[in-house]
Amino acid sequence: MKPILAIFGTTIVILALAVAYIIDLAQVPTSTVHAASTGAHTASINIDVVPGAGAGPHPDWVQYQTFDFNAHQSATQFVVPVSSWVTVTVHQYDSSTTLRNAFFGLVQGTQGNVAYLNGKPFQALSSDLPSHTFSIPGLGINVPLEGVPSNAAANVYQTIKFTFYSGDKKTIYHWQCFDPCGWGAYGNGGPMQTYGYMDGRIQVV
Amino acid sequence: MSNTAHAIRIFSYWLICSVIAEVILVFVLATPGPTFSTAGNGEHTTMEIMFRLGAPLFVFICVYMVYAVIMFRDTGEPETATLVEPAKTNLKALFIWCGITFSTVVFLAAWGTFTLNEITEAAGPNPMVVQVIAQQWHFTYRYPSFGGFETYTLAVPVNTPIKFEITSLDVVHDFWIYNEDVKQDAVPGTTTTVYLLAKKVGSEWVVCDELCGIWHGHMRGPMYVQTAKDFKTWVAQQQASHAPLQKYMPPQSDTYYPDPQGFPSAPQNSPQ
Repeated sequence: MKPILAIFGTTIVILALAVAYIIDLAQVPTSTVHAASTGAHTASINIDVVPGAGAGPHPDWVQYQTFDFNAHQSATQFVVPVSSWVTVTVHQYDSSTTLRNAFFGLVQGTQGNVAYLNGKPFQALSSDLPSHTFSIPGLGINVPLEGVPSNAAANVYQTIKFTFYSGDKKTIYHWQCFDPCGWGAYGNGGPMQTYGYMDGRIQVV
Repeated sequence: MSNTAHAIRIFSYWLICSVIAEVILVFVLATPGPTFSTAGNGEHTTMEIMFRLGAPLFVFICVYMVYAVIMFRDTGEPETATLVEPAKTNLKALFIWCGITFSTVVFLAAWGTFTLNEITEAAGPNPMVVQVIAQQWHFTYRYPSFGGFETYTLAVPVNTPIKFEITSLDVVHDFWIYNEDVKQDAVPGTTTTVYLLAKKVGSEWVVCDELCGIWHGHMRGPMYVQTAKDFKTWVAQQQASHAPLQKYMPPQSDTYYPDPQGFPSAPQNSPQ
């Protein structure tokens, strides 16, 4: 084989692999959740956090999902109205994973710097209690989501509710979980490093 | 063509290209130095000097290489004469070239060493310590001088020497106060330091300069330089909002629990 053909063939193979990788990335199995309007400058979002996605390429990975436990539908892209108070209700089905940074046990950036766990207000959790966090660093928001007891029956969940201000700027923020709930030595692999699982974007429109 | 003619041509091309390169470096690619502090001035000047001194050397190598490829290529015709005297016997050229490059490298090494010493010292006695805790994908800041509260955002008082003690909870990050040329790696399991003396009230961006995972591009946040009075007010606000968590916070440390799994633990016995 002539060298030029070998170089050409190798280039084509590398390009094909790159295109396949990009197409695979573009097919993130996640959905965009639009906050439902609940009045003038108020809106709401309902989401689940489940320990096993149940569907998709990694059914055993922890995942933020739509508010329908049986739908197995990833929900990591949110659209919220600008200059509004957005109330978030989370059904949290996973058990606890100790925070690496105890700071993320603090509720902050929410209305009154408070969140509600099964209807009861709280401002902080010790680092061994949260299972995950819902954090938007750009808005200074962090809410630790307490885990269910490890011996709890299947489908038992904690209900966490909080309200945050979406800001006066139309922009896109990044949100993520700061609890090392993924894979690997630091717990930040797998679902923490993959679109459609434990992090995403919030678009303020 | 004689050797002298070749040398004159190469010198002419080099001179023209060097002037163009210097003009581009000075007027097109030049970046503004620090505006808030003097901490990064030495580093910034060193980079400018290195590029401007190195450009003519780099250009000379490129010009000579291109010239040689074109002018001294094998044309397929039998050689009738030796065009250029072999360099190995041209001791004069050898000494000039080695002398220029050696002197330049030694000069830059000495300059860099003095500058490094200058920028890694505090700008005053008893600097205020701020611990920078890097994690995927946000920097948080702990203030041991004010009860050890931790925040999402960085605030420092103006005209106060600051010592940043930097660590990471997972992978290697890089703490960079953009535009101030103040940057230092954040390494898990250890503490690195860098200093700042902010001379002006205002805000700056802090970014991560080490590719650290999927949301690396979002690992950024503001730094506020405040008056002493505003900083005191800010500290009081942070202490109040941090109060519910205070009892759960671990004592100040270089690293925090839990240690990464799968890494060798520290030896239990003292070295013999």
